[in-house]
Formats: sequence, structure tokens, C-alpha cells
Amino acid sequence: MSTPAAPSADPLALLAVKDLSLRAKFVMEGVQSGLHRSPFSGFSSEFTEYRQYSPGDDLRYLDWRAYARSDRYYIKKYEDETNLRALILLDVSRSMSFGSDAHPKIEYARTLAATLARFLHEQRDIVGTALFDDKVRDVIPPRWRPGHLNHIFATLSREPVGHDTDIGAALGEVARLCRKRTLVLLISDFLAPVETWSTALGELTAARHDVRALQVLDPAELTLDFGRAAVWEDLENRESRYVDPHQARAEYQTRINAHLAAVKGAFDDHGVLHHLTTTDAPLTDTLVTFLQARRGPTRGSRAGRKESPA
Amino acid sequence: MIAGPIVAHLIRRATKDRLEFSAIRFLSPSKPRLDRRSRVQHPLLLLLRCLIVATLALAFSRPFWTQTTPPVASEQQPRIVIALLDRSASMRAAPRWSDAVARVESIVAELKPSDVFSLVAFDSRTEILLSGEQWQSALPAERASIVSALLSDQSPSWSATHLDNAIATALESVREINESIGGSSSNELIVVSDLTTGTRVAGLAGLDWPAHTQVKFDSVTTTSNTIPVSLQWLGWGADLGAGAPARVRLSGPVGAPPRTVSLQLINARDNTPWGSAVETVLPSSGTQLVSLPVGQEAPDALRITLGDEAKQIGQSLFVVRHLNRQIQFKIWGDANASDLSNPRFYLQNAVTGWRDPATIADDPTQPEAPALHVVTNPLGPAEITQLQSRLTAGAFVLVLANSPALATTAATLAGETDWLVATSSEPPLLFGEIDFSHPLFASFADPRFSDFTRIRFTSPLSLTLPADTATVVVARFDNGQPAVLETTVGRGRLITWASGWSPRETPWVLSTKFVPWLQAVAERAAGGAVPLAVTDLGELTRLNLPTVAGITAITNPDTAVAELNTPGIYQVTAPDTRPRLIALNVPASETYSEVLSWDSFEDLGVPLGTTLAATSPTEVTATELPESALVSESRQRAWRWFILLAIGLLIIEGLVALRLNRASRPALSNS
Repeated sequence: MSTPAAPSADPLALLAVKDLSLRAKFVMEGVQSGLHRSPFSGFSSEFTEYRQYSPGDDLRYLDWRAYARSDRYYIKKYEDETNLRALILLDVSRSMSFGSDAHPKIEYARTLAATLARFLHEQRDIVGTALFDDKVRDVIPPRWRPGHLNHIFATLSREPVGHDTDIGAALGEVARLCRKRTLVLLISDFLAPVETWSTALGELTAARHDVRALQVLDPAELTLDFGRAAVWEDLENRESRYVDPHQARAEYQTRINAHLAAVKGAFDDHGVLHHLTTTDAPLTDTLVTFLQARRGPTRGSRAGRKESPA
Repeated sequence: MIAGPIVAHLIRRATKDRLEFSAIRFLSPSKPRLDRRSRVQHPLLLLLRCLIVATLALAFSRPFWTQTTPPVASEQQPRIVIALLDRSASMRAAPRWSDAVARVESIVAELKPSDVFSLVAFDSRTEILLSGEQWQSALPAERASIVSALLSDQSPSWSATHLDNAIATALESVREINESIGGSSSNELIVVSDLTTGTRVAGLAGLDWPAHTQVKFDSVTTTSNTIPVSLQWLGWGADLGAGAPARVRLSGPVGAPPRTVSLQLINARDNTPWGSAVETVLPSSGTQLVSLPVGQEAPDALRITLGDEAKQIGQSLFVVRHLNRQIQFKIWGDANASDLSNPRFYLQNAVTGWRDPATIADDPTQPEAPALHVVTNPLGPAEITQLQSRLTAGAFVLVLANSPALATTAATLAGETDWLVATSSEPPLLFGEIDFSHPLFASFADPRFSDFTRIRFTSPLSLTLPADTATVVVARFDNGQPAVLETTVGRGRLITWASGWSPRETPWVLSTKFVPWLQAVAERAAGGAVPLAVTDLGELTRLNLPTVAGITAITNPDTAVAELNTPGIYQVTAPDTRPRLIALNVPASETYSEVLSWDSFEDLGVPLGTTLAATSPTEVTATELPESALVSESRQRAWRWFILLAIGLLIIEGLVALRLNRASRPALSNS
């Protein structure tokens, strides 16, 4: 485990930046300074064959060993293909619009998604994104081409329509969309009952997709240090009840902790890396922790990794 | 009503705050906290809101304070009472006039010796029968008898009711009396009238009412349940060969069941029925237009009556039938009427079929009769003498001077011998200048018809008139030479064209303007346009009567007539014109039987008192209102101040609520 990232910008100040790509760039700088090396190293192009050197070829690809063996100049050719496909799956349901301070959870999660997309893109991995609530709404398939990142940013910036959450349906849809083995980065608050999505998660992991879950919660959702005695209305199903937070806090904390434990248990059961963060945590810290946590137990079993012939 | 805000303030204590949360399912419902104490949250706001409601309620109830008025009954100051007696035609319906006279007498009987009284009678004219000064100068014991004597001399006229003029005159009297006596305690105008809807009240809107003035209405409307049907004259219809029909409007009560009425024409000269009665149905809408066939043979003076109800006002109409005129027509020239180059062909074709005036053959034995002579050939001295006598008697002579001899004939007929005549060899001429204000061309004055540029004259004569000529040049050619001339000879007119009319000389007779022009000349020769002959009394100016020399009543020839002030048919004689029949009727406004509503006076800003007698059911409501309430409410405007107060309180309430809201918001966010 590497040391935690250097202190990064205040999340409130960072989320005030309107441009998502710029926000991702700022976070990215912090992430890179916090990581000693890339957690996804080795995702380079693959050698395919030799070719006779001709004037004008880049001498960096000249194979000196082959020259020594055969006294001929050979240029190594690489197949322009990454060995990592990533899909960032972002929850844009109505519950993500909750925020006890100025910024809702969706802003925080959106920034995380954009930063991850930029991070992967700069590694020349192919990355796509999908927004979901009760089903998958907007899908940008994993690609690597000019302008693709901007396309992803534009999709992530799109304001959600606002529906209920159905993580299970979304995961099922992802399993149908992703034929190749894919790194699925799932960002949600996971407040929906575990039993509604654990089966679909199991099917996704069974299809050899590498799934990582990033749970984003508002601090008030953990402590209920929020609000006043009033009629509280659910953001998704519009169920309402009179709640006095002073009275309800203790029981709420018990229930939410039980739910979080169930969530973690479900992810552990399916071998999915799970990381819980709150919106008051620095974004870079969250990302660094998330990425570094991946390197340990999953190294060597990453999907699609091939040995280099060289 | 004031309890509304209190209840609202108490209800508000139950929380209505709503919060949105993402994980409701982990929350258990809490027990609501209830305030057991009945506590008002914002007493100041509550007070303000109660005050607003109370003020608005007060404003809408239009409060007023009864005063001891009619204003200020100071015993030292006299009261001015002016009685306005309606003597219009509608007051002829019995027993309105006798009732009205009795009411005026009772008003006088109730006066105190110190009061100042004036009596004004009005119809379409207003007459002060007794001024305040005369009243004051008379001995108190004799005042009532003076008024009675004045009233006995009065009788209803046949004119319309102009109440606005009468009240304006009465207000002038009020001002004059006020000035003379140095102020009064109150001014009362008491209108004794039937107040039918035909009463003219529009002028009341602009009147300046002196202080302490009230208008009271003493209605003398009959209580008859059957509102009669009345007749109104609309005019003569189009004459389609069987004589022009008489168009009248039947007016009756709206909403009454349909009824059959009969219309009868009566010869006004001998009072005998003409033709059979015509029956028609008056629908429940209350109005029916009737086109009454008259026939060509009908007499010129007629009366239209409404069956057996003709004794009431508005059920008889006097009308004068316009008889088609005749004019003698003669052409002095070639007799060959089939020659297309002869003007006779075009003249005779043009006059065929005229109805008014219809052309007849010339009759030298009737030189005074309207006549139109056209001269196309030079005349001998005997013929000129004959024509001159006809001219002097009033005939119109048209000379088509296409030769110097004809021009000389025209000059001789005009009584002028020094006209210089020459033939013109110039290229074809056009009309260069036409006097469209002259009766000869007045009908072409409209720009749509004033284009004469297609009418050329190939061989016109060049006429030069002496400087002292009495001949008027009506039109000139474009070289400045006279083209059409008119000379007044006696009562007749001589019209000279400096050109012939054969198509070789000018396309004038082929022009669309030719026949209208010739008909205008013939109509002028027959006496001019048909004047209006039927109108209402009081609108005599519409008849355009010249200085009247004598009036003969056709409908009642035995009565000596000095003034046109009674319905009927009259023959009016004036110098230099033929005798003329006119028919005068009761104004249509006097035939209305429904009564004016009280609202119409209120809308006009009349300071109403009360009616002294209520005989019309439509006035019961107004009459039953207490006098002081009506007067006080109309005078006082307290409700406006209450509205202003409510607006002010609303503003204060808004500011207080805003402040309280701002004060509570930080506390809320801190929670």
C-alpha cells in the first residue's frame, strides 16, 4: 500500500468548477501526484511481427537484438490494441440528487467518473460510460478515438431525468451490452435493498467481468445529522412520514449500518472490490484509495491481460 | 369574517414543512410534537390581518352617516323649490295632465311662506311660467291662486320632452335665486312628468349641480296594464310601378303575446277611408316593419291609422304622398326621329320611360306648367316670341348652337344681341373648365364621374359675350371659349351649348353622362329635387321651408293656422315657388309608453331625492328607498377611504411578514 495522497483541494471548491473536464483534470493531477506509478501499468500495445527497416522509420522501434543476430535492421510492429476495456457505470437516479450541503451526491460521483475516464483514456485504455437509474439510459461504448473523452464528459454532464433506482436491471443490461471482458466501475449510493441487485452482480462477475464498486454517500446519510422535525419525503418513491431527526437518529444509524454491512457482504461474496466514500472526503483521496485498493488482491488476475511475447 | 385570520393563524401551527431525503426506508416515523397551548405565533400579523378584513368589509358595505340633512335645515334660510311641469305630447294621455296639474298645486300647498318657488313648463322648449322673483313679490295668500291660474292656461303640446334642457334652465334659476336671497338651505327640483323612455336626458351628464341640490321625480304615468301599439313613420318605399308603398314601424310592448293589428289609409282631405284595411301581426318582440301598399291613384294627403285604437297618441300618422311630376317636352327642329345624326333621335330615346318627371307633349295653353324645350334649328321671330313667353313663365329652353344662326337665336332668346359668333377651325376641342358647383353639372362633381376628357367637339362655335352680359358660362372649351351657357330669363332658364349634338360633331349624346345630365335639367325644370314632406313637430328645419307666406291646414281647413305646431297636413305657400304640402306628426319619442328606469338618472350623476308618487311598477324599488339613505349614500364616499386604509394596512402587513420571515429563516437553517 502506498502512502495516502497529498492533501488535495477542498471538494466543495472543486465541485464549484462547472466544467467537468476541467474538474477531472484537477483531480487527475492530484491523483497522479498521490500515486507513485500507475495502477494499470503494462497496458501497452502488443508486438505482432517484424518488418524490414526503411528510411524514415522511427528508430525507437528498431530491434537491436535482432540486428545483432541477423545484421539486418528490423522494426518491431505492435498491434494497436489495448488489453483493458473499461465501462464506468454511474447511478443518476433521484436519490443521488440528495445533498445536505451545497452539492448533491451526483456531482461528486460525476466528478469521480470523469476523472476515472480521463485517467484510463490517458493510459490508452478504451473506456466507455453508461448512466442508469431504473434502467440504462445513456451508453457510450468503450472506444479509443479522438474526441471520445469529450463525448463521455458531455454524457456525464447531462442532467438526470430523475427516476427510481434499479441497480439489478442496470447490471443485467451491462452484462448484455459487454460481450468482451470489461472492467466495470460501478458508482452509486447503493441505498437500494441488497437483494434487488446482488443476483445481477453475481451474474456479471460470473461472466468474468472485473467489477469495482464505489459507494458514494452524503455524510448526513450516515449520521442523520441533518434537517428538522418535519414531514420527510423520499426522493424516489415519494413516501412521506413525519420525522424528528433527534428521535429517529439512533435507530436510523443502526439500520443504515446494517445496510452498509449487507452491501459490503454482497460485494465480498462476489469478489468485487468495494469502497465507501462520502461527499465531504477529498476527491483525490477517494480515487487514490480506490485505485490503490485494486492493485493488491486483484493483481495478476486482471481481465484481458496477456503476456508480452517480447 | 374576522375570525378567518385567527383560525388561519391557529391552523398554521401544524407543521407543513417538507424535507426530501434519500433513505426514508431506514427512518421510523416520529410522533408529532403538538403544542398543547393555544398560542398565536405572530400576534402583530394577526392584528393587522384582522384589521384588513374588517376595513374591507366596511368598505364594501358602503357605509354612510345619516345627517340631519337635507342639508342644514336652518330655519332662517329659505328653501328653493322649482317645479318642472312636463307639457309634452305624451302628457295628453289621460289622466296624466290633470294629475300633473294637481301635483304642482299640492307642491305649492306644502310650501312654507319663506320658501321660494318657481314654475317651469317644458316640452322641446323650456318656459319659466313663474320666476322666483315673481313668487316673492306676490302676497303669500295669493301665491297659490297665481299658480293655479298659470296652470289653467297651460295644456299639453305636441312636442318632444327635453328634460335636460329644462333642468339646465331650472339650475340657472336656482343660481339666480340664490344670489338674490343670499343662499338657501336646500334646492329642490321637482319634475312632474310621465318620464317615458322617449324623454331626452342625455344632456344631464354635463350639468354642474349647485350644492345642496336634489332632484325629485313626481311620476304621473298611467297605471294601465295595456301598453298601446304606436306607429312611426319610416318613409316611402321604392316605386316599382304600383306606387311607392308607405313604410311604417309598429312598436308595442316587448314580451307581450303576438297580436293582430289593422292599418287603414284615410284620405286626409275628406277623412274618408282609402282602400281596405291591412292586417298584420305584431310579434312578441314588440316591433314590426310594415310596407303598406298605397297605389298610384291614392290622394296626395293621407293619414295612416291603427284600427280602432287611433285615438291615442302615436296611433295616427299624417303623410304626404309624392305624386310623380309631369313636364312638357318639345323639340324645335327636324322631325325625322329615325335619323341617327339628328339629336331628336337621342333626345326622344333618352326621355322615354321617365317617371319623375314624366314627359308629356307641349301644351301652349298651359304656359305656367313645367316645360323643357330643345332648339336644334334656327327659329323665326314668331317662334322666338313664343318661346320667350314660355321662358318668362318658367320653362327651360336648351339651344344646341351648331351654327351662327342658332347662336343668334340663343342670344335673342336671352335678350342679348351683341354676342360675337364665329366658326372655329381649330382641331377638336375638349371641355377645359367646368363649374361643377353649378346645378347643370353638380351631379358630376364627384371625381368618379368628372372625367369629360373623352367628349370632343369637332366643330364648335366660338362665342364671345359682352362684358355686361347676364349669361353665366358654366363650361368652357380648352381654348377658353364658352361651351355651355345659362341665362336666367324671367322664371325660366336658357341653356346654350356652343356645339351641335349630332354624333358627327361630338360623342356627347353617346356618352353615359348624357341621360343623367338631361334628366337633371328636366328635374330642375319640374321644380328641383323632391323635398322632404313628412317630419316630426319640432323638426321643421328639416323641411327647408322658405319664408312662409301662408299656411293652410289641409286636414282641418276651417281652422285658421298661424303656426305649424299641431300634427296634420299643411299647404305652405311661399313667394316664387309652387304651393307645397307638408305633414307633421307627433315626435316618435312621445309614443313610447315604457318608463325610464331610476338607474339611468343615477348613471348621469343626477343628485336624486325620491319620487313623490309611485305609479309605475318599475319604480317601486327606487321609491321605497328611504330618502336620507339614497341621498346620504350618493353624497358620502367613506368607502373610498376604507379602501385606501385597507391598502395601507396590506402594505404594512407585507413588510411585517417579510421581516418575520427573514428573522425566522436563519433560525430554521440553524436547526
